[in-house]
Amino acid sequence: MNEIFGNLRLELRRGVLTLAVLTQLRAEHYGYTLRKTLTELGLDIEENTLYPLLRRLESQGLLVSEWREEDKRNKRFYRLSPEGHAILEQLLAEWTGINASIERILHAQPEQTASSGRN
Amino acid sequence: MELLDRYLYAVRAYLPPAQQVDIIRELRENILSQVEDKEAELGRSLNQEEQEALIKPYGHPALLGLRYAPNRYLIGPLVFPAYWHTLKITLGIVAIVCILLPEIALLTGMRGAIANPVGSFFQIAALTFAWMTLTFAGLDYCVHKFGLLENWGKKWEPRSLPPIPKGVAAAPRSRRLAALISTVAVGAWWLLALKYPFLMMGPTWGMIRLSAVWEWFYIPFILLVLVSIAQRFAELAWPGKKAFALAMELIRAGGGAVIYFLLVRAGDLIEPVRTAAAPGADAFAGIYNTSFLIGMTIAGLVSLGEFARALWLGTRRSGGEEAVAQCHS
Repeated sequence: MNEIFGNLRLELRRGVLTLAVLTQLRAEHYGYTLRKTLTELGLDIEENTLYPLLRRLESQGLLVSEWREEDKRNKRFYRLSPEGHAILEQLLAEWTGINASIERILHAQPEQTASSGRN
Repeated sequence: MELLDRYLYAVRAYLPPAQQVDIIRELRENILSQVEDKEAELGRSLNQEEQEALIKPYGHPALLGLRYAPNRYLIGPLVFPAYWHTLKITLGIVAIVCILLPEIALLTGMRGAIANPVGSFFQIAALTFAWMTLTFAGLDYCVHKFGLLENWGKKWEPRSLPPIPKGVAAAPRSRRLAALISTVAVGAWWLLALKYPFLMMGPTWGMIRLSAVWEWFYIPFILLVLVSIAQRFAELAWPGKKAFALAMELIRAGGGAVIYFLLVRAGDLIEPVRTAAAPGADAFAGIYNTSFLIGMTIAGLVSLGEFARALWLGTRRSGGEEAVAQCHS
């Protein structure tokens, strides 16, 4: 049972994490500060998931990156590309729709759900 | 941070070659930022246990490195490099056997003796490709089905990371695994072919046979194969310990050069079986003797070159540390 929950949770989180990373990268971040900010906002993401994810999103053209010096050290900063902005808008619309549907399903009266099913 | 260098050096072996330096530089910067934050919070430098605790969540070097690999459908990123390397070596051997030997036959006047060598190559190559792909896909399935990688990663501790080797940097693990597999496969094939020569001669067996000279060399060849396997195994299992692998390389390459040059001087290695049913036996034996003469000379020269290279490596001390230094900003 725990294994089933673990797999379903993993599937659920996979898409949500991508959405959270893209949303957060409307402003520029490098890997470590991005992870720190997401954790502070309540979304814990492991380093070995986030850093490869950033590379993958960049290879898909959703992010752009550059090496730049900050605090006397070179860091790789990421931000959304124009294409990433467009995709993010669509994903957020999808997310809002799904979220609203789940809310409605959760709060629907049992009789209402049953009668809808019979129609 | 010596532990961080050891970790990044280990991760590097699993990364796509074109991105290794860039990814390691980025990982280094992210981890160092994390270290600085932690040190600022504690007001002192991190001790060994704290450094280990910081690196452990990144996971086993293989697990982290493979997450950067491109997705593939049939054979995943863990098994794919070993599959690709083994496939290239095997197809190279198939190409030499199917194309080079018949070409020599044509040059020496046996035109048409081996019909359509290119057609045979494509047939055998397609079969080799299919079997090898199925085998490695099965291996990949087992790795995922039984969670071998995850179970292996759970037990991992940063303190078990090997030191950065001095001397030449180790090849990626996938390449070392492929080298071991191909050494076992080629060695087994060669020893079997010396006992059952139809494996080497194919349909021409019956017209020709191996001369008695080979019996003298069978045990030296067994020793050579065992030394080669020991060398490849040592390279795979203990990449940091170069001395043993280097000693095996010296024995293998030196021994190989001696055997190959003795074979070149041993006279005819193939004898014709003169029967009424095989009128071209002498000509075939001639072709094979010429092929073996060329093959053994090349093998002897290659072994001699490898022996010289191993000697040179034994006296050189640099490499692993250079590879890590490249990734410093």
